Parts: sequence; C-alpha cells; structure tokens
Amino acid sequence: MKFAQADVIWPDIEEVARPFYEGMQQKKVMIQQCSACSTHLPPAQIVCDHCGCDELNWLEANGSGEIYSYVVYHRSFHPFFDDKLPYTVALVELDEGPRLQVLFYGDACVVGMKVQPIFTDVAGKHTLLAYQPAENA
Amino acid sequence: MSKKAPLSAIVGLGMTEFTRDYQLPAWQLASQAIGSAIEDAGLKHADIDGLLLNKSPLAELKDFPMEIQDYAGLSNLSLLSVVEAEGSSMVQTIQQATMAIQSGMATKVVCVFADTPIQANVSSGDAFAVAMPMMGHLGIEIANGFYTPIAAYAMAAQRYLAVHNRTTDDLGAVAVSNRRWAELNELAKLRKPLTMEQYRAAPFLIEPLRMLDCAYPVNGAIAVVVTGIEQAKQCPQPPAYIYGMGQGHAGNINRRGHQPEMDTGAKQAGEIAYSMAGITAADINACQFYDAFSISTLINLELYGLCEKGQAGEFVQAGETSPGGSLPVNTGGGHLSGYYLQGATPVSEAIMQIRQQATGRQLEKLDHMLVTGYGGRMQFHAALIMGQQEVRQ
Repeated sequence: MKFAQADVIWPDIEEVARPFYEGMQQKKVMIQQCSACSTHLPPAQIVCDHCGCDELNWLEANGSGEIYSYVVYHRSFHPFFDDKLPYTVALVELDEGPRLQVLFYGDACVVGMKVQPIFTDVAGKHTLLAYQPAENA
Repeated sequence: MSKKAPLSAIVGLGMTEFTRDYQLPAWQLASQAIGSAIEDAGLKHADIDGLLLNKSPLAELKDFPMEIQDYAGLSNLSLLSVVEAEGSSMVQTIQQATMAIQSGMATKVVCVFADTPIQANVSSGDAFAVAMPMMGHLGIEIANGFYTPIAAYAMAAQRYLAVHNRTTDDLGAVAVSNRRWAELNELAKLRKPLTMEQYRAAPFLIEPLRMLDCAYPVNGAIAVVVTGIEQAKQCPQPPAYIYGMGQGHAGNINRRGHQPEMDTGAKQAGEIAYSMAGITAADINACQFYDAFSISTLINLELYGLCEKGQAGEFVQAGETSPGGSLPVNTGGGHLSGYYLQGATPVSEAIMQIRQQATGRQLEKLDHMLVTGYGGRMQFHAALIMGQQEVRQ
C-alpha cells in the first residue's frame, strides 16, 4: 500500500500501464481487448480474466459511458486536495464495458448518469482523464 | 444434511488492554497476548507446537517479525508461518491451525494478531491514509485523490444503495445496532447511546459514509490457542468448537457483468463452511462479522444467506440484529463501536459468547455462530462456524 505523501500527486507509471498514460496525453481513452475472445478489459491487465489469454491489444475507447458508482470526499487525506473539497471520484462504465476510476466534475453525480470525458491539467505537468455529464444527457 | 463432529476447538484467549494511545510496539503486545492465551488454556509455553502470525497489512515487518516466536518464548514449534490475506487473515490462521491439527503437523497452535495504528505522531485517520489499489497496476488512485479504505467502501455503499433504491438510513441502522451492543460491553470503546437522528445529523466523511460508518481503531493484541477436540476436554475453559470453515476470493473484475463490490467471495466462503458443518444459513444463531464499515454488514447478511438481496437494511432497521433481535450481530459492538483489531475482533467476541463470559450481553443459544473476516476492498473472505457443544442439539 502507498501512503499519502505531500509531494506525490502522480503515480509511478508501470510499464504495463504506459499506453493508458500516453493516451491521456493525446486526449484518448485507452482500454485493452483480448485477442482470443475479444473481451474488452480495463487497463492495465496482462491476462484476460474471461479466457486466460495473455495476448491483449490496446485500443481507443469511444470515451462515453455511465456512472457505475461514486464517492464524494468531504475531508482531504492529501494536501494537494485540501483546497478542492468537496471532490467526487467515480467509477465510469465505458460503452465497451470496462470501468475506469476518474474524477467527476459536475453539479450532481448519479448512478446511471451518462457521462463524457474531459482532460484536465494537473500542476501544469500532467494530463488527467476525468468525466462530466454528457451534453446530450 | 447431517450435522457433523467439530474439527477443532479454541481453548485459550489472551487479550491485552486496547488503547487509544501508543504504549508498546506490536511485537511486545503480541507476546503479552500469547502468554495470556497459553495461561488461559491451562498450558505451558513448552506445550505450544504451532504459531501462526497475523500481521496487519499496515504494520511494518520490524514491528511484527517472525522473531515473535522468540519474544514469546516459544522454542518447540513444528508449525510457524505468517498468514497474509489482509483482513481475512485471523480467521485463516484458525483454519490453518485446524488443518495442521487434523493432519498431525501440530497439536496446540497459537494464532495472534497485534497492531498499533495509533502512533505518537500519527492519528488513526492518517494511519489509514493509503491510496486504495482498486485499479491494480494502473495506479491512477493517487492522481484521483482516492485515499483511505473508507473510499473503497463508500464506493460499494453508493452502488448498493443505488441498485436497491435504499437510503443511508440502512447504514445508520447498522451503526445504531452495533452501538446498542457496545452499550452492554465493558470492553467496547464507544458506549454512548446513538440514535438514528444523531446519525443523520452527522456530517459525511466520504459520502455516503460518515465517521459513524467506520471502524474505531485501537492499539492492542489478541491471541487464541487452537487444539484438537480430545485435548480440548482437558483444558479449563469451555471449548469453542469449530465445525466448518470456508474461504471465497472472487477477484476484482472492473467491467460490465461483474459487481465486485457486491458479489463478493463471502457467498462461496459461507456455502463451503455451512456444508462442512452440515448446516444451512437457517441454523445460524448469531453472527460476528468483520465489520470495518457499516456497508459490509448489509452485504454480508445477504451473501451469507441470512437476508434476501437488498433487504438487509430493513432487517437491521427492524432491530433483528440488535439486543433482543432474532439474529444478534456483532454482539460486542463490532469494529464500529467496540474495538478495531481487524479479524481478531469478531473471533474474540465469538469465544467470549460461546464460553458464556460475555458479561452484560450474553446470548442464550449458540449452537452455530458465523464468524467472518474479509480484506482488501472486500475481495478476500474467510468464515468459521463455531459453537458451544461438542454434540449439538
């Protein structure tokens, strides 16, 4: 487990997750797909949980999805988030099936709400995928 | 189904003081609890031939090393291991002790847990400010500010309430039920009466969870002695028999068609344990759940077959789990109002109840008590069926 550290606001990126982070820099939502059974998988897997195949491909998701669940932080456990309260972290279920954990920006989050991606700047150094209510919802 | 003979028995229980300040390191607390448990079992240190260590996932190895063997004065071991399955570890130590006894690898096994989340300069809240690894190697939790286990359980709670169209009153009912038991238990830390109105008025911590939905951490240690059923008859304390054991680990699959927050391995752990004991969920007289967060009690009542899906909230609100209810749950106040010593909390309360030593809160009929542990964000589960009579009615 990684304890909160004041100067750490971005993860150490593991090699298996790099395509997801590089995709975010290019404002893409990257997921994986099993080459054997075509199951869409959340990043960053090395084996398909459905069939056990270890040949997985990366592809760009269409980006849209819906809220599977969410939480609202009313207390900060890291100094970087002290001035951002309250903030919402959601699990978004993409149209293709995989779920991603993201920050949610919007007035009210509701389970089942249609959402679309936005890309936010973190400390002028990183691009982070987040979600907001879909415009046509 | 026919009822079956017990597999093993717990004959010793040792507990340190449970404190809200830092007094001793975990290894020293563990050694104290081990000594108390051996004495309670009417045994000597030289009699102990197995030691299974339940290290807290939050503790550093130097605070809870293998050398606890030496610190506790145990030099005659034919079984020694750290059992690591997060919050399900304590129940798993008792399962492994039972298997070792049945196979002949050991005859009298000590299982011990100790932790000191509260340090001189660290509050209990900060002690648990870890990034929850919900997305595996993606590691995105840090960027999202997804800190503390509370968040993982809040995520599960929000999903549960939405799917079943329920309100946070279901969670509050669990907190109130636990508090009513804690009022009766001198060992419990939070004993001031709690009403649903007070619960509703409390602010959210990580919505939909409030502080009242979260475990109350303490520093302390608990040890037990497990032995065979013949040996147990020689021991001074009434044996707490183990009739069934099960585990279930359903994984953490984050995609459509899977709900890892709600369809956990608890169901499998329960089915295996019930089958081994030759009973069904209907035979359970009381439950001691690992209940670090209120939501897990609701989900466990359902997955262990004691309530229909989505109906645990009504069951708890009706008082069925409270003192005088049809299915007493967490009769010492549990993690929420009693004391949070991970998997050792439910185990300790089960033993006190089965021995008829649960002063102020004693239950009458205890043929089959369900005792559980879970870890991580509810993906690791272990369960025991315990009871007070060797030949059951």
